[in-house]
Amino acid sequence: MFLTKLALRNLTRHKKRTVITSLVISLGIFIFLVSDSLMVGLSDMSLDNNVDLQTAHLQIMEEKYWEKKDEMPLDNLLKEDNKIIKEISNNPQVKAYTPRLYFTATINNGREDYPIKAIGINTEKDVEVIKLDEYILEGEMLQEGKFAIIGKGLAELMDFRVNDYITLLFKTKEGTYNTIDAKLIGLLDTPHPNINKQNVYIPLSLAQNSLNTGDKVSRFLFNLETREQSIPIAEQFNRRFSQNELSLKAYNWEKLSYEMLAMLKQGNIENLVMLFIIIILATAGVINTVILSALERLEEIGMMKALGLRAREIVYIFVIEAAGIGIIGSTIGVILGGVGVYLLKEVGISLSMMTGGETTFGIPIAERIYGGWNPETFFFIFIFGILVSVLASILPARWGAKKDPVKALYHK
Amino acid sequence: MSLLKLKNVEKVYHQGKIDVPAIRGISLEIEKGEFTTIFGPSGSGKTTLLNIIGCLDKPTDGEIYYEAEKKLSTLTKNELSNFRRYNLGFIFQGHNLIPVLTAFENVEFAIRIIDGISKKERREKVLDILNSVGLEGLEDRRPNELSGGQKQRVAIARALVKNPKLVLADEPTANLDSENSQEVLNIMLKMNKKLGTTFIFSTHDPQVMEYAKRLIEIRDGKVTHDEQGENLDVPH
Ligand SMILES: Nc1ncnc2c1ncn2[C@@H]1O[C@H](COP(=O)(O)OP(=O)(O)O)[C@@H](O)[C@H]1O
Ligand SMILES: [Mg+2]
Repeated sequence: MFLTKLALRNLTRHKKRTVITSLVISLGIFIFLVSDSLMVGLSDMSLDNNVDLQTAHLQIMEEKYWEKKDEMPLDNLLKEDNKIIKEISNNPQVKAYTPRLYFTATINNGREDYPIKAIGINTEKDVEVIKLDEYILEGEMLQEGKFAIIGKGLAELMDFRVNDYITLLFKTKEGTYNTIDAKLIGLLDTPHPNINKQNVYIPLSLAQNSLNTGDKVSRFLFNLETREQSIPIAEQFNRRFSQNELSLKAYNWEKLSYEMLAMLKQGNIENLVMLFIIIILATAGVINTVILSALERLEEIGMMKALGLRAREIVYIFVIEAAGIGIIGSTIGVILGGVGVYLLKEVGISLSMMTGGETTFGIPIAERIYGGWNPETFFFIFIFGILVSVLASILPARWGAKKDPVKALYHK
Repeated sequence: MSLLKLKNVEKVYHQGKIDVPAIRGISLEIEKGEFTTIFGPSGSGKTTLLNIIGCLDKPTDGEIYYEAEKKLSTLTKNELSNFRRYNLGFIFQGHNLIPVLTAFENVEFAIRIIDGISKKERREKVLDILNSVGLEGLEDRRPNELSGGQKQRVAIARALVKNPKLVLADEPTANLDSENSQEVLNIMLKMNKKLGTTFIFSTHDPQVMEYAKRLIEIRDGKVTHDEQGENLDVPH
């Protein structure tokens, strides 16, 4: 207790040094919290966008289709007029559902080809699940007929304008080549870069006729009352499917966003880098401080040893002093970080401000990002700051405490 | 029974390849309650001798016994720490007070690390000893608010508060003017009488010698004179 009191009072001996070392730790913590908030905000927004614009809350498809879904094959399809789907969609939690037929194609503008993802959608029901109609930049939403809508990124790339005709080239179910000529009646501008650059939407009936799939579709997309219900509802649907010995399966948005989640997880590597930077900053600051203090207090160390203090007790004094620095630094860092994160959450930050114009990270995000907030991160980094300070102080403290008392007393 | 017995103590410092003999075979006995002055010119080995007696340094050769049976060379570092903690008091040339602690706390430090003293008891002891050295009312001052002589008196109080068997003072008056030196020596004499504490202190100042009750003179690491009591041949 006495030694703790002494250690804490020692913090006041060189106030400037204490404050500077603490602020170094604060700065690291501040940067960590703000960047973590951006990462959390970015992933939340990316996921939201992906759910809103691509996956919906839940999808139903053939189990075998799921395995190959990235290739968008034309086998293992489902009947569009599907008894069991109709039945389960009576569930009060289901808000809306819609069938879609996905296939690969290349788009042609008369001069060059570009591989795209073509999606046949139900022109009435699809907007109840995926609100593409809210993202029409020019022209209008898709209608029945030989029409198509595409993202503005793709339009720019292929030099298409509204009312131009686009040509899609693809293989039918039987493996023969076929084309669709469709009039471009709308351009999409969504916060999802994949949609802007890759997707071509045409009416489902047009797709089915051209692909010779008859009345088949690849998946049904469902929106529920809330996103959270997707797990229990998917389980409920799956039980139903297995009772009826069907090879259908329901997948919730998390499973459907698997790749994106994996990509977002890589953001955590940035967190590790930030942690490492904090470790370096704090360690350097604390080691420097402890060594300077020990050198200044050599006579004191000698005196304490003469009094009968053991090296361990002298180490303790320095370590507690470093813990004090860690607590001050962590506290200031967490307060500053809290303010920063609050601003990020409420005001957000414009992406063009951060990147100087070019706005895509390859993940679906809007122009303005809002920070996320994670109380556990605050708690974690607070403890982390103190822990790093304490650990960094041990070696230099031992170095000081192990000094020969005679040399320490008469070092001049 | 003597408190302290040195038998053929030698100390050689190694400075690079050169051996510097600092103590060259000193044997002596110190009785309980003695007030001993070690006198010698600078470089004669006073500090080295006191450090060896105070278990801060180890002799190159020879043996030291406390109360006849305790052989210092057999103790581990921690045992030596403990021995100092309970039995020895130190007064240094510089006061070596901790600047962030008050006079009271600096003195308290010495018994704070001794088990089994209650808070109340501790407070009484500290205030009592501070009064004895004439620092009544200055308990709450920090070292930078005290004069040189007052600081040295706090250091004396710190050495005495645990009522040690032996107090070692290495040139305690070297940094003080003659008035303060006399006061510090008078206090040490007073405590020697009052508590019966054994003192060994060193000096190179012939004026300080008049306080000696036993005078040991050393030169080049050897005892050249050892006189007791009344028939001290001290230049006045
Ligand atoms: N750490 C050391 N290394 C080498 N020589 C030393 C060391 N300490 C003291 N000495 C030498 O030992 C001798 C005695 O020194 P010291 O005990 O300090 O004498 P005093 O205290 O009487 O002035 C001197 O010659 C001094 O130079
Ligand atoms: Mg000396």
